[in-house]
Amino acid sequence: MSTLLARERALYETVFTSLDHYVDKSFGELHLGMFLEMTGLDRATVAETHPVVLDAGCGSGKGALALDAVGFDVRMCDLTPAGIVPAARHLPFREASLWDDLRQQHAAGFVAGGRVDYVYCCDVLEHIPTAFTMLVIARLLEIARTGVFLSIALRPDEAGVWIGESLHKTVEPFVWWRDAIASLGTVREARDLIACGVFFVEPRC
Amino acid sequence: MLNAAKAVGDERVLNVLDGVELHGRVNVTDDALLDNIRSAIRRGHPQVRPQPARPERVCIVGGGPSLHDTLPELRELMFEGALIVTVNGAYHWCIERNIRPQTQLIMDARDFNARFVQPYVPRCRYVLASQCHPAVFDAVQDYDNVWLFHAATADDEAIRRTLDAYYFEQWYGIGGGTTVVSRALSLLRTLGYLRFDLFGVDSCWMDGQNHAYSQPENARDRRFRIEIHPTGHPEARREFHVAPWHLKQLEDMTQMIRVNGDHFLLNVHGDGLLAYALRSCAAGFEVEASPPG
Repeated sequence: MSTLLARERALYETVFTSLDHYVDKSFGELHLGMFLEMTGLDRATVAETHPVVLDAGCGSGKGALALDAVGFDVRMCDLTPAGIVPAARHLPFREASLWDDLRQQHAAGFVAGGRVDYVYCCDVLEHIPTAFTMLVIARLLEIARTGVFLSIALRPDEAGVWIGESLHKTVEPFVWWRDAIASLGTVREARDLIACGVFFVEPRC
Repeated sequence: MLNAAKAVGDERVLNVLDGVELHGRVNVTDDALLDNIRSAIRRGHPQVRPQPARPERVCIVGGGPSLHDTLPELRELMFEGALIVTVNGAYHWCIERNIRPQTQLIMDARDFNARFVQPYVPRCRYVLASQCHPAVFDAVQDYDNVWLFHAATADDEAIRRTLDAYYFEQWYGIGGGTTVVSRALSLLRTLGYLRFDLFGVDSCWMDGQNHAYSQPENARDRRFRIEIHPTGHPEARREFHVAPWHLKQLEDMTQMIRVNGDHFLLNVHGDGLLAYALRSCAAGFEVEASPPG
Protein backbone atom coordinates (compact mmCIF):
# COMPACT_ATOMS: atom_id res chain seq x y z
CA MET A 1 0.00 0.00 0.00
CA SER A 2 1.42 3.39 -0.94
CA THR A 3 1.64 6.08 1.67
CA LEU A 4 -0.24 9.35 1.44
CA LEU A 5 3.09 11.05 0.92
CA ALA A 6 3.98 8.79 -2.02
CA ARG A 7 0.57 9.34 -3.62
CA GLU A 8 0.79 13.10 -3.24
CA ARG A 9 4.31 13.17 -4.64
CA ALA A 10 3.23 11.11 -7.65
CA LEU A 11 0.22 13.38 -8.17
CA TYR A 12 2.30 16.56 -8.30
CA GLU A 13 4.94 14.98 -10.50
CA THR A 14 2.10 14.24 -12.91
CA VAL A 15 0.72 17.76 -12.55
CA PHE A 16 4.05 19.47 -13.17
CA THR A 17 5.03 17.27 -16.06
CA SER A 18 1.69 17.02 -17.86
CA LEU A 19 -0.07 20.35 -17.30
CA ASP A 20 1.95 22.86 -19.27
CA HIS A 21 0.24 25.96 -17.92
CA TYR A 22 0.00 24.93 -14.28
CA VAL A 23 3.03 26.96 -13.23
CA ASP A 24 2.17 30.01 -15.33
CA LYS A 25 0.43 31.82 -12.49
CA SER A 26 2.35 32.11 -9.24
CA PHE A 27 0.66 33.43 -6.13
CA GLY A 28 4.08 33.44 -4.49
CA GLU A 29 5.15 36.00 -7.05
CA LEU A 30 1.89 37.98 -6.85
CA HIS A 31 1.73 38.24 -3.07
CA LEU A 32 5.27 39.40 -2.34
CA GLY A 33 4.09 43.00 -1.85
CA MET A 34 1.51 41.92 0.69
CA PHE A 35 4.13 39.83 2.51
CA LEU A 36 6.38 42.87 2.84
CA GLU A 37 3.47 45.01 4.00
CA MET A 38 2.29 42.53 6.61
CA THR A 39 5.77 41.90 8.00
CA GLY A 40 6.58 45.61 8.05
CA LEU A 41 9.77 44.93 6.11
CA ASP A 42 10.90 47.45 3.52
CA ARG A 43 13.01 46.53 0.54
CA ALA A 44 16.06 48.49 1.72
CA THR A 45 16.13 46.64 5.05
CA VAL A 46 15.73 43.28 3.34
CA ALA A 47 18.53 44.07 0.90
CA GLU A 48 20.77 44.97 3.82
CA THR A 49 19.91 42.27 6.36
CA HIS A 50 18.98 39.31 4.10
CA PRO A 51 16.41 37.64 6.37
CA VAL A 52 16.20 33.88 5.86
CA VAL A 53 12.90 32.80 4.36
CA LEU A 54 11.62 29.34 3.51
CA ASP A 55 9.29 29.12 0.51
CA ALA A 56 7.30 26.17 1.80
CA GLY A 57 5.65 24.27 -1.04
CA CYS A 58 7.57 26.30 -3.58
CA GLY A 59 6.01 24.68 -6.68
CA SER A 60 7.52 26.49 -9.65
CA GLY A 61 9.95 28.50 -7.50
CA LYS A 62 8.72 31.77 -9.01
CA GLY A 63 7.79 33.07 -5.56
CA ALA A 64 11.24 32.15 -4.29
CA LEU A 65 12.80 33.98 -7.24
CA ALA A 66 10.81 37.11 -6.37
CA LEU A 67 11.93 36.86 -2.72
CA ASP A 68 15.51 36.35 -3.88
CA ALA A 69 15.33 39.42 -6.10
CA VAL A 70 14.34 41.59 -3.12
CA GLY A 71 17.29 40.31 -1.10
CA PHE A 72 15.92 37.54 1.08
CA ASP A 73 18.17 34.56 1.79
CA VAL A 74 15.79 32.01 0.26
CA ARG A 75 15.33 28.27 0.85
CA MET A 76 12.75 26.18 -0.99
CA CYS A 77 11.07 22.92 -0.18
CA ASP A 78 8.33 20.84 -1.77
CA LEU A 79 7.27 17.25 -2.29
CA THR A 80 9.04 17.24 -5.63
CA PRO A 81 11.35 19.54 -7.59
CA ALA A 82 9.51 18.63 -10.79
CA GLY A 83 7.82 22.03 -11.11
CA ILE A 84 10.82 24.28 -10.50
CA VAL A 85 11.49 26.58 -13.43
CA PRO A 86 15.08 26.66 -14.74
CA ALA A 87 15.68 30.20 -13.42
CA ALA A 88 15.06 29.03 -9.85
CA ARG A 89 17.11 25.84 -9.92
CA HIS A 90 20.16 27.51 -8.39
CA LEU A 91 18.26 28.29 -5.18
CA PRO A 92 18.72 25.86 -2.26
CA PHE A 93 15.98 23.20 -2.42
CA ARG A 94 15.07 20.28 -0.22
CA GLU A 95 12.51 17.60 -0.98
CA ALA A 96 10.21 17.57 2.03
CA SER A 97 6.67 16.91 3.13
CA LEU A 98 5.25 19.85 5.04
CA TRP A 99 3.58 17.62 7.59
CA ASP A 100 6.86 15.95 8.56
CA ASP A 101 9.19 17.35 11.20
CA LEU A 102 10.61 20.19 9.14
CA ARG A 103 12.90 21.38 11.89
CA GLN A 104 14.69 18.04 12.01
CA GLN A 105 14.80 17.79 8.24
CA HIS A 106 16.19 21.28 7.86
CA ALA A 107 18.72 21.04 10.65
CA ALA A 108 21.22 19.12 8.57
CA GLY A 109 22.99 21.97 6.85
CA PHE A 110 19.98 23.39 5.02
CA VAL A 111 19.13 26.12 7.53
CA ALA A 112 21.19 27.12 10.56
CA GLY A 113 19.55 25.66 13.66
CA GLY A 114 16.72 24.29 11.57
CA ARG A 115 14.84 27.59 11.81
CA VAL A 116 14.22 30.48 9.44
CA ASP A 117 13.15 34.08 10.02
CA TYR A 118 10.01 33.75 7.92
CA VAL A 119 8.02 31.03 6.22
CA TYR A 120 6.37 32.03 2.96
CA CYS A 121 3.64 29.61 1.96
CA CYS A 122 1.44 30.58 -0.97
CA ASP A 123 -1.23 28.50 -2.69
CA VAL A 124 -0.24 25.39 -0.75
CA LEU A 125 -2.53 24.68 2.20
CA GLU A 126 -5.62 24.16 0.08
CA HIS A 127 -3.71 21.31 -1.62
CA ILE A 128 -3.12 19.54 1.70
CA PRO A 129 -5.61 16.85 2.76
CA THR A 130 -7.85 18.45 5.38
CA ALA A 131 -6.76 16.13 8.18
CA PHE A 132 -3.19 17.36 7.75
CA THR A 133 -3.72 21.11 7.31
CA MET A 134 -3.35 22.15 10.93
CA LEU A 135 -0.41 19.81 11.40
CA VAL A 136 1.30 21.57 8.51
CA ILE A 137 0.64 24.99 9.98
CA ALA A 138 1.96 23.83 13.35
CA ARG A 139 5.13 22.55 11.64
CA LEU A 140 5.60 25.82 9.80
CA LEU A 141 5.18 27.80 13.02
CA GLU A 142 7.80 25.57 14.70
CA ILE A 143 10.50 26.58 12.27
CA ALA A 144 9.64 30.30 11.96
CA ARG A 145 11.38 32.68 14.31
CA THR A 146 9.32 35.72 13.34
CA GLY A 147 6.24 34.65 11.41
CA VAL A 148 4.49 32.61 8.77
CA PHE A 149 2.82 34.17 5.72
CA LEU A 150 -0.02 32.09 4.33
CA SER A 151 -2.03 32.66 1.19
CA ILE A 152 -4.80 30.10 0.81
CA ALA A 153 -7.27 29.62 -2.05
CA LEU A 154 -10.91 29.52 -0.92
CA ARG A 155 -12.32 28.04 -4.12
CA PRO A 156 -12.02 24.70 -5.95
CA ASP A 157 -9.18 24.45 -8.44
CA GLU A 158 -9.62 24.46 -12.20
CA ALA A 159 -6.61 22.36 -13.18
CA GLY A 160 -7.42 19.08 -11.48
CA VAL A 161 -10.11 18.23 -14.01
CA TRP A 162 -7.36 17.58 -16.58
CA ILE A 163 -5.84 14.80 -14.50
CA GLY A 164 -9.09 13.47 -13.06
CA GLU A 165 -8.48 14.54 -9.47
CA SER A 166 -9.23 17.71 -7.57
CA LEU A 167 -6.04 19.45 -6.49
CA HIS A 168 -7.64 21.61 -3.82
CA LYS A 169 -8.23 18.99 -1.16
CA THR A 170 -9.30 21.52 1.47
CA VAL A 171 -11.73 24.18 0.28
CA GLU A 172 -13.04 26.02 3.30
CA PRO A 173 -14.34 29.53 3.99
CA PHE A 174 -12.09 32.35 5.13
CA VAL A 175 -13.47 32.22 8.66
CA TRP A 176 -12.74 28.49 8.98
CA TRP A 177 -9.07 29.10 8.22
CA ARG A 178 -8.85 32.26 10.29
CA ASP A 179 -10.24 30.67 13.42
CA ALA A 180 -8.32 27.41 13.03
CA ILE A 181 -5.02 29.21 12.49
CA ALA A 182 -5.71 31.40 15.53
CA SER A 183 -5.74 28.29 17.68
CA LEU A 184 -2.13 27.54 16.66
CA GLY A 185 -0.46 30.94 16.52
CA THR A 186 -1.07 34.65 16.94
CA VAL A 187 -2.83 35.93 13.84
CA ARG A 188 -1.41 39.39 13.26
CA GLU A 189 -3.38 39.96 10.11
CA ALA A 190 -6.18 38.14 8.30
CA ARG A 191 -7.25 39.50 4.95
CA ASP A 192 -10.19 38.14 2.98
CA LEU A 193 -9.47 38.62 -0.72
CA ILE A 194 -12.68 36.83 -1.81
CA ALA A 195 -10.92 34.09 -3.83
CA CYS A 196 -8.19 33.61 -1.27
CA GLY A 197 -7.41 34.35 2.34
CA VAL A 198 -4.09 35.84 3.39
CA PHE A 199 -2.73 35.52 6.92
CA PHE A 200 0.36 36.59 8.80
CA VAL A 201 0.85 34.45 11.89
CA GLU A 202 3.40 34.68 14.64
CA PRO A 203 4.52 31.63 16.61
CA ARG A 204 3.61 31.57 20.27
CA CYS A 205 6.81 31.31 22.26
CA MET B 1 -12.98 46.52 -7.21
CA LEU B 2 -14.60 43.43 -8.68
CA ASN B 3 -17.93 45.02 -9.66
CA ALA B 4 -17.32 48.53 -10.95
CA ALA B 5 -20.76 50.13 -11.23
CA LYS B 6 -22.22 50.65 -14.65
CA ALA B 7 -23.92 53.95 -15.41
CA VAL B 8 -27.70 53.90 -15.82
CA GLY B 9 -28.36 54.15 -19.56
CA ASP B 10 -30.99 56.87 -19.36
CA GLU B 11 -30.59 59.24 -16.40
CA ARG B 12 -34.27 60.23 -16.69
CA VAL B 13 -35.14 56.87 -15.17
CA LEU B 14 -33.81 58.23 -11.86
CA ASN B 15 -36.21 61.17 -11.86
CA VAL B 16 -38.97 59.79 -9.65
CA LEU B 17 -40.05 62.75 -7.50
CA ASP B 18 -41.24 65.98 -9.14
CA GLY B 19 -41.45 69.11 -6.99
CA VAL B 20 -38.51 68.44 -4.67
CA GLU B 21 -34.78 68.17 -5.13
CA LEU B 22 -32.94 65.94 -2.67
CA HIS B 23 -29.25 65.50 -1.98
CA GLY B 24 -28.04 62.69 0.25
CA ARG B 25 -24.89 63.07 2.29
CA VAL B 26 -23.10 61.02 4.91
CA ASN B 27 -23.44 62.31 8.46
CA VAL B 28 -19.70 62.36 9.23
CA THR B 29 -16.80 64.03 7.44
CA ASP B 30 -15.05 62.29 4.55
CA ASP B 31 -11.89 62.01 6.64
CA ALA B 32 -13.75 60.39 9.52
CA LEU B 33 -15.38 57.98 7.10
CA LEU B 34 -12.03 56.95 5.63
CA ASP B 35 -10.52 56.56 9.10
CA ASN B 36 -13.39 54.26 10.02
CA ILE B 37 -12.82 52.18 6.88
CA ARG B 38 -9.07 51.92 7.44
CA SER B 39 -9.72 50.66 10.94
CA ALA B 40 -12.51 48.23 10.02
CA ILE B 41 -10.77 46.42 7.17
CA ARG B 42 -7.80 45.55 9.38
CA ARG B 43 -9.89 43.62 11.88
CA GLY B 44 -9.84 40.31 10.00
CA HIS B 45 -13.54 40.00 9.20
CA PRO B 46 -14.72 38.27 6.00
CA GLN B 47 -16.16 40.34 3.19
CA VAL B 48 -19.69 39.92 1.90
CA ARG B 49 -19.58 38.40 -1.60
CA PRO B 50 -22.18 37.41 -4.20
CA GLN B 51 -23.98 34.14 -3.47
CA PRO B 52 -26.28 31.95 -5.57
CA ALA B 53 -30.01 32.71 -5.52
CA ARG B 54 -31.88 31.57 -2.39
CA PRO B 55 -35.62 31.00 -2.11
CA GLU B 56 -36.11 32.06 1.53
CA ARG B 57 -38.38 34.99 2.27
CA VAL B 58 -36.65 37.82 4.11
CA CYS B 59 -38.26 40.27 6.54
CA ILE B 60 -36.25 43.48 6.71
CA VAL B 61 -37.23 45.22 9.93
CA GLY B 62 -36.64 48.96 10.16
CA GLY B 63 -37.58 51.22 13.04
CA GLY B 64 -40.59 53.07 11.57
CA PRO B 65 -43.71 53.73 13.65
CA SER B 66 -45.89 51.19 11.75
CA LEU B 67 -43.99 48.36 13.45
CA HIS B 68 -46.53 48.22 16.27
CA ASP B 69 -49.43 47.77 13.85
CA THR B 70 -47.70 45.16 11.72
CA LEU B 71 -46.26 43.02 14.52
CA PRO B 72 -48.80 40.18 13.93
CA GLU B 73 -47.83 40.03 10.23
CA LEU B 74 -44.15 39.95 11.12
CA ARG B 75 -44.66 37.17 13.66
CA GLU B 76 -46.67 35.15 11.16
CA LEU B 77 -43.91 35.35 8.56
CA MET B 78 -41.32 34.49 11.20
CA PHE B 79 -43.28 31.36 12.15
CA GLU B 80 -43.45 30.41 8.48
CA GLY B 81 -39.65 30.45 8.39
CA ALA B 82 -38.81 33.87 6.97
CA LEU B 83 -35.35 35.20 7.75
CA ILE B 84 -35.46 38.15 10.17
CA VAL B 85 -33.05 40.93 9.24
CA THR B 86 -33.01 43.96 11.52
CA VAL B 87 -31.39 47.33 11.00
CA ASN B 88 -30.16 49.65 13.73
CA GLY B 89 -32.52 49.94 16.74
CA ALA B 90 -35.06 47.48 15.32
CA TYR B 91 -32.66 44.87 16.72
CA HIS B 92 -33.72 45.75 20.28
CA TRP B 93 -37.36 46.19 19.33
CA CYS B 94 -37.42 42.62 17.98
CA ILE B 95 -35.51 41.11 20.89
CA GLU B 96 -37.94 42.73 23.33
CA ARG B 97 -40.79 40.95 21.50
CA ASN B 98 -39.08 37.55 21.40
CA ILE B 99 -38.27 37.86 17.72
CA ARG B 100 -34.70 36.70 17.26
CA PRO B 101 -32.74 38.72 14.70
CA GLN B 102 -30.89 36.36 12.37
CA THR B 103 -28.99 39.21 10.77
CA GLN B 104 -28.31 42.67 12.15
CA LEU B 105 -27.22 45.29 9.67
CA ILE B 106 -25.58 48.64 10.40
CA MET B 107 -24.27 51.24 7.97
CA ASP B 108 -24.19 54.48 9.97
CA ALA B 109 -20.68 55.80 10.65
CA ARG B 110 -21.29 57.29 14.09
CA ASP B 111 -20.14 55.83 17.41
CA PHE B 112 -23.55 55.59 19.11
CA ASN B 113 -24.42 52.69 16.80
CA ALA B 114 -22.39 50.42 19.09
CA ARG B 115 -25.52 50.04 21.21
CA PHE B 116 -27.28 48.40 18.26
CA VAL B 117 -25.09 45.27 18.43
CA GLN B 118 -25.64 44.62 22.12
CA PRO B 119 -26.62 42.31 23.67
CA TYR B 120 -25.07 39.47 21.69
CA VAL B 121 -27.59 37.16 20.05
CA PRO B 122 -26.16 33.68 19.43
CA ARG B 123 -26.15 32.62 15.76
CA CYS B 124 -27.04 36.14 14.63
CA ARG B 125 -25.01 37.33 11.66
CA TYR B 126 -23.67 40.86 12.25
CA VAL B 127 -23.21 42.55 8.88
CA LEU B 128 -21.46 45.87 9.32
CA ALA B 129 -20.43 48.47 6.78
CA SER B 130 -16.71 49.07 6.70
CA GLN B 131 -17.55 52.73 7.30
CA CYS B 132 -19.01 51.93 10.74
CA HIS B 133 -17.29 53.52 13.71
CA PRO B 134 -14.50 51.58 15.49
CA ALA B 135 -16.70 51.55 18.61
CA VAL B 136 -19.15 49.30 16.75
CA PHE B 137 -16.37 46.89 15.80
CA ASP B 138 -14.99 46.97 19.35
CA ALA B 139 -18.44 45.94 20.55
CA VAL B 140 -18.48 42.86 18.27
CA GLN B 141 -14.85 41.95 18.83
CA ASP B 142 -15.67 38.65 20.53
CA TYR B 143 -18.73 37.82 18.43
CA ASP B 144 -18.92 34.94 15.98
CA ASN B 145 -20.25 35.63 12.52
CA VAL B 146 -19.27 39.23 11.86
CA TRP B 147 -19.20 40.23 8.19
CA LEU B 148 -18.05 43.34 6.41
CA PHE B 149 -19.59 45.10 3.44
CA HIS B 150 -18.44 48.18 1.64
CA ALA B 151 -21.11 50.82 1.09
CA ALA B 152 -19.20 52.21 -1.86
CA THR B 153 -19.13 52.31 -5.62
CA ALA B 154 -16.38 52.95 -8.13
CA ASP B 155 -17.34 56.65 -8.05
CA ASP B 156 -16.25 56.98 -4.42
CA GLU B 157 -12.68 57.71 -5.41
CA ALA B 158 -10.98 57.95 -2.00
CA ILE B 159 -12.78 54.90 -0.64
CA ARG B 160 -12.08 52.91 -3.77
CA ARG B 161 -8.37 53.72 -3.56
CA THR B 162 -8.24 52.70 0.11
CA LEU B 163 -10.03 49.41 -0.48
CA ASP B 164 -8.13 48.63 -3.69
CA ALA B 165 -4.82 49.08 -1.89
CA TYR B 166 -5.77 46.88 1.05
CA TYR B 167 -7.65 44.14 -0.78
CA PHE B 168 -5.58 44.22 -3.97
CA GLU B 169 -8.79 45.19 -5.78
CA GLN B 170 -10.55 42.04 -4.55
CA TRP B 171 -13.70 43.55 -3.00
CA TYR B 172 -17.33 44.12 -3.88
CA GLY B 173 -19.09 47.42 -3.41
CA ILE B 174 -22.73 47.56 -2.30
CA GLY B 175 -24.58 50.45 -3.86
CA GLY B 176 -28.21 51.42 -3.55
CA GLY B 177 -29.09 54.66 -1.89
CA THR B 178 -28.30 56.66 1.20
CA THR B 179 -30.28 54.89 3.92
CA VAL B 180 -29.57 51.56 5.50
CA VAL B 181 -32.78 49.91 4.26
CA SER B 182 -32.15 50.59 0.58
CA ARG B 183 -28.57 49.32 0.99
CA ALA B 184 -29.92 46.34 2.87
CA LEU B 185 -31.95 45.39 -0.18
CA SER B 186 -28.87 45.57 -2.43
CA LEU B 187 -26.79 43.71 0.09
CA LEU B 188 -29.28 40.91 0.64
CA ARG B 189 -29.82 40.59 -3.09
CA THR B 190 -26.04 40.20 -3.43
CA LEU B 191 -26.28 37.42 -0.86
CA GLY B 192 -28.78 35.69 -3.13
CA TYR B 193 -32.12 36.59 -1.52
CA LEU B 194 -34.98 37.49 -3.85
CA ARG B 195 -38.16 37.90 -1.77
CA PHE B 196 -38.38 40.77 0.68
CA ASP B 197 -40.99 41.99 3.15
CA LEU B 198 -40.32 45.40 4.65
CA PHE B 199 -41.56 46.17 8.15
CA GLY B 200 -41.15 49.51 9.90
CA VAL B 201 -39.96 51.18 6.72
CA ASP B 202 -42.51 53.97 6.45
CA SER B 203 -40.57 56.97 5.14
CA CYS B 204 -42.81 59.23 7.23
CA TRP B 205 -44.06 60.24 10.67
CA MET B 206 -47.14 58.39 11.88
CA ASP B 207 -49.24 59.56 14.83
CA GLY B 208 -46.55 62.09 15.69
CA GLN B 209 -43.80 59.45 15.93
CA ASN B 210 -40.83 58.99 13.63
CA HIS B 211 -39.78 55.66 15.16
CA ALA B 212 -41.52 52.81 16.92
CA TYR B 213 -39.19 53.40 19.86
CA SER B 214 -37.25 56.27 21.34
CA GLN B 215 -34.43 57.34 19.03
CA PRO B 216 -32.85 60.49 20.51
CA GLU B 217 -30.62 61.00 17.47
CA ASN B 218 -33.71 61.80 15.37
CA ALA B 219 -35.43 64.01 17.94
CA ARG B 220 -34.45 67.19 16.11
CA ASP B 221 -35.41 66.05 12.60
CA ARG B 222 -37.16 68.83 10.64
CA ARG B 223 -40.74 67.92 9.88
CA PHE B 224 -42.46 68.90 6.63
CA ARG B 225 -46.03 68.37 5.55
CA ILE B 226 -46.21 67.04 2.02
CA GLU B 227 -48.97 66.23 -0.39
CA ILE B 228 -48.06 63.54 -2.85
CA HIS B 229 -49.78 61.75 -5.69
CA PRO B 230 -48.72 59.50 -8.56
CA THR B 231 -47.77 61.58 -11.59
CA GLY B 232 -50.95 62.40 -13.51
CA HIS B 233 -53.30 61.11 -10.78
CA PRO B 234 -54.13 63.96 -8.36
CA GLU B 235 -57.23 62.06 -7.24
CA ALA B 236 -54.95 59.63 -5.37
CA ARG B 237 -53.43 62.49 -3.36
CA ARG B 238 -52.43 61.82 0.26
CA GLU B 239 -50.86 63.89 2.98
CA PHE B 240 -47.83 62.80 5.03
CA HIS B 241 -45.41 64.35 7.48
CA VAL B 242 -41.79 63.67 6.64
CA ALA B 243 -38.21 64.54 7.48
CA PRO B 244 -35.91 65.17 4.50
CA TRP B 245 -34.29 61.74 4.93
CA HIS B 246 -37.74 60.13 4.68
CA LEU B 247 -38.21 61.62 1.23
CA LYS B 248 -34.68 60.63 0.25
CA GLN B 249 -35.48 57.09 1.33
CA LEU B 250 -38.60 57.14 -0.80
CA GLU B 251 -36.60 58.45 -3.75
CA ASP B 252 -33.86 55.83 -3.27
CA MET B 253 -36.33 52.97 -3.04
CA THR B 254 -38.35 54.13 -6.04
CA GLN B 255 -35.19 54.55 -8.11
CA MET B 256 -33.98 51.13 -7.08
CA ILE B 257 -37.26 49.56 -8.13
CA ARG B 258 -37.14 51.37 -11.47
CA VAL B 259 -33.57 50.27 -12.18
CA ASN B 260 -33.42 46.82 -10.55
CA GLY B 261 -37.05 45.96 -9.90
CA ASP B 262 -36.88 42.86 -12.08
CA HIS B 263 -34.36 41.30 -9.73
CA PHE B 264 -36.45 40.95 -6.57
CA LEU B 265 -39.96 40.79 -5.10
CA LEU B 266 -40.87 43.47 -2.61
CA ASN B 267 -43.80 43.78 -0.22
CA VAL B 268 -44.05 46.81 2.08
CA HIS B 269 -46.14 46.34 5.22
CA GLY B 270 -47.95 49.12 7.06
CA ASP B 271 -49.64 52.28 5.85
CA GLY B 272 -46.74 54.70 5.57
CA LEU B 273 -45.56 56.79 2.64
CA LEU B 274 -43.43 54.04 1.12
CA ALA B 275 -46.26 51.50 1.30
CA TYR B 276 -48.62 54.04 -0.30
CA ALA B 277 -46.10 54.74 -3.06
CA LEU B 278 -45.53 51.08 -3.88
CA ARG B 279 -49.21 50.17 -3.78
CA SER B 280 -49.94 52.93 -6.26
CA CYS B 281 -47.68 51.10 -8.76
CA ALA B 282 -46.64 54.52 -10.07
CA ALA B 283 -43.30 55.09 -11.73
CA GLY B 284 -43.10 58.67 -10.41
CA PHE B 285 -44.75 61.12 -8.04
CA GLU B 286 -45.54 64.80 -7.75
CA VAL B 287 -44.76 66.28 -4.37
CA GLU B 288 -45.80 69.55 -2.76
CA ALA B 289 -43.93 70.35 0.43
CA SER B 290 -44.87 72.88 3.10
CA PRO B 291 -42.27 74.43 5.44
CA PRO B 292 -41.55 72.76 8.77
CA GLY B 293 -44.47 73.10 11.15
